[in-house]
Amino acid sequence: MSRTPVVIAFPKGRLLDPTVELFARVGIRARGLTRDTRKLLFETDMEGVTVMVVRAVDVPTYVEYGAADLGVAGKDVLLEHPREVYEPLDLAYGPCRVVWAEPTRKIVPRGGLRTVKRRVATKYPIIAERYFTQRGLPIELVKLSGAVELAPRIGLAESIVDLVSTGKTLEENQLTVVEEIVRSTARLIVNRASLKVKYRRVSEILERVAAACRPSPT
Amino acid sequence: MTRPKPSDRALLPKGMATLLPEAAADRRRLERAAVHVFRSWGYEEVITPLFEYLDVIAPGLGPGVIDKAYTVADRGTGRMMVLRPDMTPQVARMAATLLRDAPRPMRLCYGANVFRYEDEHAGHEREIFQLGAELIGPSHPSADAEIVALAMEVLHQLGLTGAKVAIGHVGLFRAWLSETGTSPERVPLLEEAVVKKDRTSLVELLVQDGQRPSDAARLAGFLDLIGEEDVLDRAAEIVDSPPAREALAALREVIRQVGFYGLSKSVILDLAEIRGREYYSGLIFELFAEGVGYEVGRGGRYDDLIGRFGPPGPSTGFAVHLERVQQALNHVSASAPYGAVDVLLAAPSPDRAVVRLAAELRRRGVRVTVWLEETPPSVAAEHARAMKIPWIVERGTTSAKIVLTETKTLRLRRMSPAGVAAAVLARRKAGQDADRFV
Repeated sequence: MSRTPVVIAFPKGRLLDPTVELFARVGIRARGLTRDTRKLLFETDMEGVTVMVVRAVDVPTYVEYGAADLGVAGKDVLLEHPREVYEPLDLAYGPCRVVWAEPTRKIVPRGGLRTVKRRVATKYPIIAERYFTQRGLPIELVKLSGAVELAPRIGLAESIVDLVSTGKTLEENQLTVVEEIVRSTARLIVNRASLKVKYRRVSEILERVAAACRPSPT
Repeated sequence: MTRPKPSDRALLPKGMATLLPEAAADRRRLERAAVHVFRSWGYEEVITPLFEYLDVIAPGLGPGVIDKAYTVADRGTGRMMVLRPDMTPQVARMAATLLRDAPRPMRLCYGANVFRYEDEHAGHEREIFQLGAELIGPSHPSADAEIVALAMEVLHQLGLTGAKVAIGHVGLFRAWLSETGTSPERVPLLEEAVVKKDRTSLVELLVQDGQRPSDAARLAGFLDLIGEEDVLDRAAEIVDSPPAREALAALREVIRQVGFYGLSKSVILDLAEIRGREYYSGLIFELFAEGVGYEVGRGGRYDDLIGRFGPPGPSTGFAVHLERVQQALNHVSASAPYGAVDVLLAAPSPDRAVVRLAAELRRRGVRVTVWLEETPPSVAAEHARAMKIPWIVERGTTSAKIVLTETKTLRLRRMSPAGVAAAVLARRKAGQDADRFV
């Protein structure tokens, strides 16, 4: 009898390498998965387990619909694209922060009476809007798909909300962090039905992954 | 406001159901099968109003559901009305008012559409067809076991034999919450973390609430309470208060009794699953089927709901989401061949004899449409083929016998009307499973 099939969604981009490496350590090595392959589906060393590689922001969608049983997604992605999934494991890798930043020379002392509506350029409209509206700060969102750090320099926006890993890009563009909004790491996410309908299978994988990342690498 | 150009205008409000004949037949078949199960367990069907006054039904709706309800103003009074977003509060109100003096236990069921303004994704629809049952009166675990078993029986009869039921308990979650000592305004944050099984956030929140890291880690163990019956023992180590013990005892008893129905292998415990608990107060459960990434139904005990409309009374019930059941069925099997009509009765011109023949065949259980066009027989055959009608009947030249033609092979037979009916019905019975539930 063949075992219940399980599909795991891996994110393209910066989380792919550590994800491939982690799953290889628990016996789920995706055969033929290299950086430049154009394949999207991979058999693995564990019987019945298939890996698919999709865009990072799409991982929660695949998992919510049950097209993938498990997946790996950054907390930043999960907050920006809220989906009804479980996120039981913090994998600890891929640390980054979503921050609110402004041009270094323009920062005014906090607690001032500045109430002018800010224009905020960002790739994270949901996180940004939630953050500012919860604090009652009036803003106008400018949704961009990239090069967000450029927006203040050319007068498109006064502020940005963006992802920071090292802080180097901010520095190069004369931007300073006003406040950290989200601290993010990679999470293992699970479809709600899969955890029940395929409980044995899915919980076995969960336990293995949990054991493999328990002695935190950082 | 600019009016949308005609070409931009949607033909339908988003998310409203439109079912063409084959899908409609499928829907009705499932509905009848479910109602058949309900009836055989002694549940009586009720029909509730499509509109309600918002202020009247609101006490029975969770805040999440009120926000999603479609509202309309009543033209007579100006009062706000809602398009029913949920059936259970309506049935609860019925129990508290019109049926307040009816004998208990009372078993009611329904099949109806409800409407919610949802962002459509992953099974969330705006028009939902719910099939449900409520067992009103008893507060003992055997009532919960019956409801769980009935829900599973409905899914089995509809064809989802691999369905699973995930059971939790709202009382246990509340007991755990009070153990955390969190303040009321922070409860939603904790809830969000529990619903997502997000341990990192949960531990962080608990530490912010003043828990020592070791206690926070122990309390976050609540998220691990998923699996088989040993979960109940582990739960007792995390929350140990009189309400928690009561909830665990109830769970243990329901699970024991669900076993009587032969369902032990289909049960999984997930004590941290509290999503959509709305008015539920005790045992809660969700129904899952392979191939659908979200629950196909949910239910539980709601002992405080009826009291919002009249004298209080315990109750338990469930509803399945028919659209999602259909998705699951598509996953397990190809649907049975669809055929709406058995016989095309071709007659060049209508007369008394044709009408009588049609009536006789119908009386014998054959589904007949009459072809009254003055066309050569080949055109009637063409139509029968296009409509997937397996047989064509013509009147013979001699009086008693009629001509039965098989559309596929064009093979002719001369027989009596009774013989035609018998042949047609025998083939239908052998050929398709579709009428299994009728």
